[in-house]
Amino acid sequence: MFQPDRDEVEKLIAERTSGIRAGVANIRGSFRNRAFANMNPGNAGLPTAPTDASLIIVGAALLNVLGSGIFQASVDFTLTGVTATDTLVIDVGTQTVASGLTLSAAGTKVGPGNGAAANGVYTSNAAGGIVVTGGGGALIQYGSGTYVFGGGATTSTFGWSGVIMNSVTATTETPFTRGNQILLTLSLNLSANALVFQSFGMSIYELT
Amino acid sequence: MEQPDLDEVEKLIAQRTTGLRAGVADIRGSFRNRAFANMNPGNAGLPTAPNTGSVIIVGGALINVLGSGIFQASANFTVTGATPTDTLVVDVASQTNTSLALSVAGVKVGPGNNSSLAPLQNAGAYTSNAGAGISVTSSGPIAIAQYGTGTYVFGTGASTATFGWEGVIMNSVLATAETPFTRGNQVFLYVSMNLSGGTLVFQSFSISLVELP
Repeated sequence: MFQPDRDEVEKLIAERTSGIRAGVANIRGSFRNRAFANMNPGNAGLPTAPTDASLIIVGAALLNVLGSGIFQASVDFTLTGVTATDTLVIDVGTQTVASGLTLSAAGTKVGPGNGAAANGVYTSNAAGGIVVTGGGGALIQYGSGTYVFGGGATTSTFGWSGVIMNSVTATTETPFTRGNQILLTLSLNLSANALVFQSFGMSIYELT
Repeated sequence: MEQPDLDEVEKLIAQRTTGLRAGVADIRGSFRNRAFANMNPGNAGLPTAPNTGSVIIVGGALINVLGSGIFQASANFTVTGATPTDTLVVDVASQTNTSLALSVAGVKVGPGNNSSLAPLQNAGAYTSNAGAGISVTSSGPIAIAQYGTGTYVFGTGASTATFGWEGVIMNSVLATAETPFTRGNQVFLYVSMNLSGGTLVFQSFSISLVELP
């Protein structure tokens, strides 16, 4: 009868569990890697609506890429104060860089994020919005084009969710680079400056 | 040559797989823990639009907290029949307690993952079949409004209202650290509305609640 010694038993265990370890490792990278926030009328920290006629960042979510590099994301908001013929351009974008991405002081942390202390969801507390330094260039993931408000419509609602990667044109998965930082942003360009955010929601989490 | 006996081999296996077991256990709690439903024009079970001037619950998803206590959630609907100056307030909110019960106005319209432990066996998606909406009994702490529209005013010629929302929710909307729902509790995510007009009709409705790992 074959009687394995301790080293042989260790080898057998390693062999028999290697597939399981690989599977768990694949999942572990993205495990609980997420940032999110939900804000309602009256909540402190709702974004300050922009006052100029340029595209500025009113909210953002910062994370590190730890696993697949593919993320589920969502952005929602309600604005009041629009009048007929006011226009609104909405862009949901991403920026990614190996390290050193920072947000200006206009970014106030309003929701949790996994990993580095800086990770989480931010909203703008200034009409000029959040300025990103070292972000590596923006990629528009989803844009509304120019939305024109109709007569008597004083409220604008926006809701979007999707799965994002580091391309909007590729037909094969193009992950964000593992180890990079990724910033999901909501940018607005408003023609009128009397708008007020009633609600805001943003989430991003890494898929397995 | 050291030749371990069966007990020693068992110990080795237990030691070498400890991390794996812990990792799998973390994932297992929330595995397939979800409730959801999608309804289209003409489908049976679409919510009854509220006919009162107060906020009432028109639909929701009930689930047990089995893992992380952090959930992906969505709510969507289309209503018709609005006229100019009609107003609509929409709230997506949650309640949690060790056991939650819905009034008979709540009709189950979609699946939900159940715990084997009674009374946590009523998970699923529900819609209201009464103008006064669904009441929650044995409710827990004060409801948390996860996402609200404020007062929506319909414009000229606008007879249809659509609403779509998705997000990740926890047991707070103010904390900047993850604040999970308590494992073992139930969570009820719901859509509540306050309509100024009484002639609205739901054309579609969907809700989902999925526990993240």
